[in-house]
Amino acid sequence: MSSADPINANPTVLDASQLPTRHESKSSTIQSQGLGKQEELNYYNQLYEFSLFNSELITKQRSYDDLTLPKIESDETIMSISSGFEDITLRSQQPSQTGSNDDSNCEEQEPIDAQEIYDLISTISDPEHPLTLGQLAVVNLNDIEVSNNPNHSQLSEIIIYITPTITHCSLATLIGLGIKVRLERCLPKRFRVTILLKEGSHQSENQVNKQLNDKERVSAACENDQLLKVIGHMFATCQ
Amino acid sequence: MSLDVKSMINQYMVATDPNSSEATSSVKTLVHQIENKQLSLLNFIKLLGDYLTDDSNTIRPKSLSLLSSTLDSIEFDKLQAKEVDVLVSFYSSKMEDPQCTMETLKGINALVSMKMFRPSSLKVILNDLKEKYESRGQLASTRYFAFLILQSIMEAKLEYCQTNLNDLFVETFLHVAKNEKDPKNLMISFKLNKAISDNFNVDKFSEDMFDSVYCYFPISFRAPENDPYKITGDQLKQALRDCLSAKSIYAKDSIPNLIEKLASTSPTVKLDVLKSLNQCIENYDTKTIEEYWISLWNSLKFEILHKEIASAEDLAALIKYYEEGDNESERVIPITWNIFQSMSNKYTDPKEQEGVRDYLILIVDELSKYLKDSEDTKSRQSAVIMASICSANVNSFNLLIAKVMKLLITPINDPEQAFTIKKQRMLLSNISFMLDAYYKLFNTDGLFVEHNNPIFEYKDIILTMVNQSLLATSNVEVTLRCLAIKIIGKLFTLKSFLTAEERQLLVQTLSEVLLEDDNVNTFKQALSSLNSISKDHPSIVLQYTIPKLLTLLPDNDLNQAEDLNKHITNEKVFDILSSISENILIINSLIIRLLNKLSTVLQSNGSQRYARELLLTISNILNKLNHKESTNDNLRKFVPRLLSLIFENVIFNESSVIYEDPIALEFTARSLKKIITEADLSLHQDTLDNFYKVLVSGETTNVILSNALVKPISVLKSNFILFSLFTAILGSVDKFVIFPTLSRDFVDSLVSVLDIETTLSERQATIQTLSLVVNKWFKSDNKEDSEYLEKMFVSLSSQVESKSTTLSQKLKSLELIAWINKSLLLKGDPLSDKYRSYLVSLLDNPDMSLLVPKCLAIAIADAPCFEQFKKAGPFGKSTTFNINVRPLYKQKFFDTLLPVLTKKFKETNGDDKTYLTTLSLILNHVNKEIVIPHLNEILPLILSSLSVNSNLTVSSSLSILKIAIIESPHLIERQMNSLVPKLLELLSITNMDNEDVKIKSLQCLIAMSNFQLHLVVPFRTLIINKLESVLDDKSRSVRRLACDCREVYYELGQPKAE
Repeated sequence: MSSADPINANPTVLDASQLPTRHESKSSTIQSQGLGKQEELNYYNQLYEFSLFNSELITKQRSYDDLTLPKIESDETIMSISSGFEDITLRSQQPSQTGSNDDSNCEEQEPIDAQEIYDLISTISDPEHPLTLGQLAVVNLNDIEVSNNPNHSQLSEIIIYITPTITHCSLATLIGLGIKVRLERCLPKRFRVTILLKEGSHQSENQVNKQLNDKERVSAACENDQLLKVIGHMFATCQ
Repeated sequence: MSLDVKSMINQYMVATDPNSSEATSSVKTLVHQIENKQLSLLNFIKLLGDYLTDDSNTIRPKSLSLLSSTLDSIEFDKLQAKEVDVLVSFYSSKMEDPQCTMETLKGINALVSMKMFRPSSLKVILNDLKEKYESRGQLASTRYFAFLILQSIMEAKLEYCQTNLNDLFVETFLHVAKNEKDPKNLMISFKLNKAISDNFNVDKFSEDMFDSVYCYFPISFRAPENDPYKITGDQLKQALRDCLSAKSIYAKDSIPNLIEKLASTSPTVKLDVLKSLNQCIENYDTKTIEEYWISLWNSLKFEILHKEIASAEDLAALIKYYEEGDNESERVIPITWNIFQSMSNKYTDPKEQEGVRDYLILIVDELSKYLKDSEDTKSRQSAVIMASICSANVNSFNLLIAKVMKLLITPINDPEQAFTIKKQRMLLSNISFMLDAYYKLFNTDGLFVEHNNPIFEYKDIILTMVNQSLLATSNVEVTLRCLAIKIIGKLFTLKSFLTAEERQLLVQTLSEVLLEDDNVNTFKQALSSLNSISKDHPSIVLQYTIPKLLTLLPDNDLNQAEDLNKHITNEKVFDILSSISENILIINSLIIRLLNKLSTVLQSNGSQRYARELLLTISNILNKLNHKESTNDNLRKFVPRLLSLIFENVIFNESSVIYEDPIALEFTARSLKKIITEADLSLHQDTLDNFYKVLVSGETTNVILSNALVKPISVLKSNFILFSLFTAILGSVDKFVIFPTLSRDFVDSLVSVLDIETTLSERQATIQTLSLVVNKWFKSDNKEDSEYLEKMFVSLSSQVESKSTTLSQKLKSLELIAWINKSLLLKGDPLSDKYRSYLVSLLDNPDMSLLVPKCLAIAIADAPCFEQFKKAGPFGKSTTFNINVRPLYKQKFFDTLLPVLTKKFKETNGDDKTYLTTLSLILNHVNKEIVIPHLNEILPLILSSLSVNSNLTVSSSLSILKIAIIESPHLIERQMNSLVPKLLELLSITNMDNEDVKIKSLQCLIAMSNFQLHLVVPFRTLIINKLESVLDDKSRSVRRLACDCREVYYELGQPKAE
């Protein structure tokens, strides 16, 4: 048994439920909004679903405070209503009349942030342990820096500091490469990813850093089928 | 006659296969003749005569086979003693004929079971078997008969053998069983072995008997495919184990040998060894086990001590985890616990078995150094071992639990070392295992709890520790706090463990945690514990938790926003309240208290949201009532108070925050619905009458009102908003209740209400009321009702088609048609065909074609007013009591509509999108099962609808597409060439708000990756490249799914990791 033991047999393991996730913050916002809100929304959705009048589909951004039936007086309003029905299907991008839609637009744009990067890489498995990088605290939310350029035609940058479980971890480069490949596959091209070892966390820090961020060497590594297979294995836990 | 017999014999002799129909029929005839005394056995043998002594090695066995088969089939009591004797000696002489062994054995076997068989012949037969029979060189099927003879003898003449032939029988068996390899024969051999151990004196042969089975250990047999005997390796293993464990005298051989095999590196063998050991320990007597106790303990303890134990706080969960583990080496762990339990189980008599007692104490002593230090790496393992030993029987529990507990709590009082949080956590989790042992003995096994149970001595310490963990540690220590909460939950489940005061104390602690701790995990754990406690101990929760929660709800929430210190929101309080409402006592008390709160809030002008949420919470809490509880009391007491409050505020008090608020009414309606549907059906008539009197006839005082109304209400004239309540009541009362007025007249009034301008919610409620009345109180077989509907149809359809009616009028008529159609369709009324066909025909009407798809969708959409409630009907079958509904109406509707739609779609060459829209709207409302048989027909429509410029249509088509990809991939595989680019195109549209479409497209792409490799590989690069732009989508969930999708295609063809 002892011969098969990895050198670093007993790393500190974080409980998966305690890793930072977006899910948690989301549920708390829902909670603060109240379950009642959701129920009201369902009620209105149903009203519209079962009525031929004003068939516009309800979206989450709509405000309901003035829910009276449009006055059915002339045929023109009806025309606009029924043509509105045609519109449900092609809900075009024209900004709608209500002001509430404006803030919803801001809400809609969900920028790529550190948490999203964390979610992408924290689920990668460690090549040695049956645990994820998040559980082993190799990657930490606070060690991810994202500078997201709002102009998508320009470059944006991401810097990730990783902390190997022990200072002589021989697989630090492999872990780094895994993260690099994962992000290359999962992020749009406009991002430049730099992976650095956290200061003082590894014996040959500079060497590894150099290796990880050398474009040529990374792409050479990606030609190696054997290596790709190992990396694919590490990704098996990312869903 | 003899000619006949002769020909029968010849027929058998010439048949090539003794199982052929000719051969068996001749045997049958012969048997029949012998049984009826038409043919004497003597004659029969005479006729066979020459054949039986023929020199040919084929004829002789064959004739013998005929004789044996005949004997085998003869009724067991038809032969006479003399005949049997003669035959025995005949067969005995044949034993020396090696060509005939099989037939001889078969014949003997038949004879042994005969009624007139003399036991005195047994000696000859057994001797023959022992001396003359040689298993080597015989076919497996021949050897089988040797075993069969022994088995038949045991069945027929067991007592005789026991007294007279004990040794001979055992020796014969050992001889016969030697060198057996065939699985079927081994099975019977093992069974015999076990039976012999049970029935014969084998003291002399113990070693031989043991060797005769142990030489097969460990069995690695795996049944071949199309295995003729249907014997599995596990059956053989179990049979072998049964032999080993049959008698205590085998212990001297079995235990040392098995322990030796424990060193095996193969987990399968190890598992087999452990299971065998366990069975031996269970079956051998206590004295024997005592003898081997030390060596067993010493060799088994490391199986646990040297392993990591999974993180669970519960012994049962731990065992489940390991037993379900894929890994065989993990399954070693629970079986080792079982062995310890079996050992502990030997301690049945505390007065007599001092040896076992000493050995049990020895285990505690040996483990004491680990138990004492909760941070030791072997501490958890030791605690689990002790828990399994204690859980095995109450004597062990009484003997050991105090010792173990004393050791476990050492760290608390240890002056030299600090009692760290980590120690505290480990200690609690160890104690938790010991509580499991208590649970097992006194809850699961139902043993009586004595008042002086030794664990009670430590109860105070456990309670103090739990309380301390929750009240004196920082909220950051989530794991410790969660563990403590789980233990509280566990303590509540233990039989006769906690006193009433202790329960109160713990509930108070939990309530405090619930309100003070803001960590999500701790909160969840506390809530779930409180939830289970409230099921069995509602009064404590009512007394301590609920008042505390209710005081957190302000009378007026408008100033609350500024109160930043308050970290627990009203919503959270509501949440907690609904989740701990697990008992009817709590529910009934809570709804009253919340209603009082609502009344106060409305008086002090709280916000509209707050009032609505109170109403919603009341309905949520009511919905937690299970079906066994009756709501009759609520109907009598709660409903009048609720209604008076609601009418006062919604209808009369213009300054109320919920004045004419449809949402408040909707939530009220839900509560009413629940209360009425759960009340006795006998109360429904009065309920409906009363509601009708108040809402329609304008009564101001009624039993359903606690206070008289200021003014009469009339739902038909002005208070249209109350239709939402009326719909709920009509939808929930028994369908056999009599409608208070003539239903046709009522529908007339409803139609005129629909002509008045109302709000959307009023209009919907009205039209649903109408639909319900038609469904429940119009009779299909009533001529006047049918005529009324016919007339209505004519007038409505003429309005829809007439050029002179306004568009708004047309719309109203169409909507009415749609809802009447729905109510008729549900109950399977013949008129519904007419309505449906009319709607379908309108699809071709350019004026209406935009609206009709929705009308058809309404027909099968699940409307809340038509929600089905069931009660147990005749024959115990639960039937829907509140509406008239045919079980398969959706399927029928879909099956009739689909051909029409596909046909029309083809006629228009796919130019007219109305049919596609209709189809996709309908598909949203039918189950997967209804769609799957039609996938073949729908698919062309689905594929072309992907190009329709409409999110709704595309999205619903994609849902069906996904089903098709998973359920019938062969249909999709042909379309890959057009489908993949189409999906990618949908994904590349950036200027549309179509998150849903994108997500579904990605799901389809991911689902397709499971197709056969050669089908998807051509698209791999295309998909990966095209998805790159999606990685920058503005929606996070789309991006995430795109990542997953790309990952799937990057790793295409790689073996999937577990």
